[in-house]
Amino acid sequence: MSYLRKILHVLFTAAILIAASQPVIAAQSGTPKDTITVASGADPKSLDPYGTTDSPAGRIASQIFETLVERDDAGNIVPSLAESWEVKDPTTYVFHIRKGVKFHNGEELTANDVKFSFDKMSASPHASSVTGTIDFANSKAIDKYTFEMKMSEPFGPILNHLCHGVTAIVNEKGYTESGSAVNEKPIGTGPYKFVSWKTADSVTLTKFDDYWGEKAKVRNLVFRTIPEAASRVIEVETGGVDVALQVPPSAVSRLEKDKDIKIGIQETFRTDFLAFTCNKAPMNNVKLRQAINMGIDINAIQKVVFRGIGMAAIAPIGPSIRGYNKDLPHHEYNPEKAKKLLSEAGYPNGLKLTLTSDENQERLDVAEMVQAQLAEIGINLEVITLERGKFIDDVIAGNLQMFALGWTTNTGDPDYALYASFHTSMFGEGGNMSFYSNPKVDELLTKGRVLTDDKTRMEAYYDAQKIIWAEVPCVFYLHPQEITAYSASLKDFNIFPDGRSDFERMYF
Amino acid sequence: MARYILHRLLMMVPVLLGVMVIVFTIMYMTPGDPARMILGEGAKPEAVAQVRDELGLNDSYVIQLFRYVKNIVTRFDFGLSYNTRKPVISELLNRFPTTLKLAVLSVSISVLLGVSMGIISATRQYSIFDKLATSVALIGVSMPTFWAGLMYVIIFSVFLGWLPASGSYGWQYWILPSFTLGTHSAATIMRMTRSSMLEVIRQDYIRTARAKGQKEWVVILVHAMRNAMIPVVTVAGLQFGVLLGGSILIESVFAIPGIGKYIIDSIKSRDNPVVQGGVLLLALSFSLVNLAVDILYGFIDPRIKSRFRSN
Repeated sequence: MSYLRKILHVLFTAAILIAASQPVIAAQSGTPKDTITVASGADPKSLDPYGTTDSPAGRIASQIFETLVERDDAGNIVPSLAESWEVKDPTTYVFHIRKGVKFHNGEELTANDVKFSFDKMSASPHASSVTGTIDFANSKAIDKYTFEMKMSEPFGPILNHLCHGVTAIVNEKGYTESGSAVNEKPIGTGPYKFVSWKTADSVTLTKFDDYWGEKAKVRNLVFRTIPEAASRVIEVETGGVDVALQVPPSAVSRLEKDKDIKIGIQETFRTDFLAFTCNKAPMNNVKLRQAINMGIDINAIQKVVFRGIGMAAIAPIGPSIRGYNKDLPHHEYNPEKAKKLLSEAGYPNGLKLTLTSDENQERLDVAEMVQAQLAEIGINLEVITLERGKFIDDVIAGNLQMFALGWTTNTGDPDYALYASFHTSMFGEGGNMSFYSNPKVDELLTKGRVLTDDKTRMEAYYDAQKIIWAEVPCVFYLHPQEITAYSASLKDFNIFPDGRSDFERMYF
Repeated sequence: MARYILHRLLMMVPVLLGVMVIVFTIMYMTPGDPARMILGEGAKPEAVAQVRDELGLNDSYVIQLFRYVKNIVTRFDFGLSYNTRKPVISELLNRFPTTLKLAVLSVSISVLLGVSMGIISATRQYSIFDKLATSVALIGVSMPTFWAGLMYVIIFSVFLGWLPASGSYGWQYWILPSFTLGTHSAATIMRMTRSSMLEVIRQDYIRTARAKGQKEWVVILVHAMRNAMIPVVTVAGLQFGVLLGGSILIESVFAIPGIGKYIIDSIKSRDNPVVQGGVLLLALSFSLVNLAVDILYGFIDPRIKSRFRSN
């Protein structure tokens, strides 16, 4: 028996010695920093800009690819690959392409590449929600550096839409040569070029030395996939990564005490809401919807479920989106008045309703709070959880009474959020999942869509928000904020509401 | 023996065909439109229809099933992932070696720890060591691997700084995940070894061995252990098979690109070809592990080997 004990003893000692002799983390932090490592929650689906619109892919692709125009820090449209542009008439845009821009394969950017890219967009189902009314067949290269984009009908938000990653410009030669491997061999004009992609593990990029703009300050950029939020936080604490994205609110207070870590809290283009199916009884009753809205304390939800991170919502779009109506007040939370409204709505003794959600834990937490709050005004709310696929099917079919969902205004323009969600022509599958209809709102949203004058457009959205605010097709409860934890030694860190970051500006 | 193995391998064919049809049917019947899941809820109806058409989702159940089985049988083509448009086979094979490595390491740790502790506990029944080991094993079984993994990370990565917290870039990265999974199943193996050994060491032939004047360690390790190993091998084999299916929680905590999380994510996003291919791969590896365990029985117990011949 003593043999066994000896063997075990030796094994145990060896294990301890091996572990102790590996100063893994110390070695990593000792080397000069020429790499920014970013921990993200999911692997990109595709690095073909026309192959997906998912955000992990968009974040990486925005380093590799560029669009004709882009948004600056203040949300204004500024030149990118197009040096300038003219709006000849509401259906004709002429883009003057920047000269001397090189792709990562050494080719020079020309208007033919832009035409090729537009053709790829037109064939992509992923791009269809972004490209609006672009008339692809008649859009063409006029000369080597001029591209004319035609619209089948006027579309006011088009320049905002052209900032979206799914409208990135690719190199015709490189894209064609990549063939079916195009989603794994991205060739763009961006400050970083693609090196490798280890499936479900990491994507590595390196500085593009011939970049036309301000060149990247740090040579390598690595995006690691770490699905578990707690592990991302631990990695940034131990120096394994420089940036941890999507940090849970629960970790903030602990990380704030760490002087080596900074916390960034960024607005997003997202709104979370509880929607009513407005074209069916009982939810077609405006007073009932208003009563429910008045019986829900969204400030409490923001404090308890989201630990104070994010903005308690007022209207369908948040302050990070252009056209946000800052004059609208918060809905009043008043259970007594809500009871009266409920009585006026025809339910003096309350009623029984169902609220359906997918398996998202935050939404379920919100549902639970709402259930308790509505019980106080006499509404017996049953919370039903459905698997996401079935849930979306039911939402689109209009089978539910109330449901919890969120919406991201990918383009940062109010048209993207409001037209699809509240225009009568977009019922169900189109995006109007609350089946809300109001001719005045339809008129305003159409006006915002077809006019190209920004001021008139924004006025239309102001008015539309006012009506939506009053008629409560949804209880808008939160404009979530994104929490990022990053190393204090990383300078000039930024992140935009659409999830992109200017990694090329950052340095140690 | 060779005939036995061939027979068992042939038996796998109908099993795998059955798995193929059942998984396809379940995914076909599951609510949720894959095209909409790919494009997101903001997609235009025309775009959803275009994707449905491209993926062949408008065809009838029979046509889709026939096409799926035919492509696998004739061309070994499992189709393209709906999400990434990459071949399912390469997506799975990119991840499977990682899962295999983790499974081998974890089972090795659990067998090493479980068997040695089990033997010591059995031979020193009711001693302090036995009580301690049994209690530790109970704690080991009761601790969720997810939580245990995070605790190990906090201790060894955050406080002590000895080991990296996540990733799979070198041998030191494998210590924590395989230790987490290994210690969890070591507890089961330890308890199994203990009870099996207790049964064996009370048998007459052990007393005979001792009476012959055989050294105690020879009696335990040579005479007793071999006979006590059958149930242990069964349990270890089952655990290995389960681990080959990946461990979604451990893969998430340690950011290991394995097969478990991939298949679960694919189920959620209705990436049907990946789910079908993935489950088929799991069924195949589980069947092979079972076969290996059966063959191993023969080496442990020659009486079983003789039965292979009669088969």
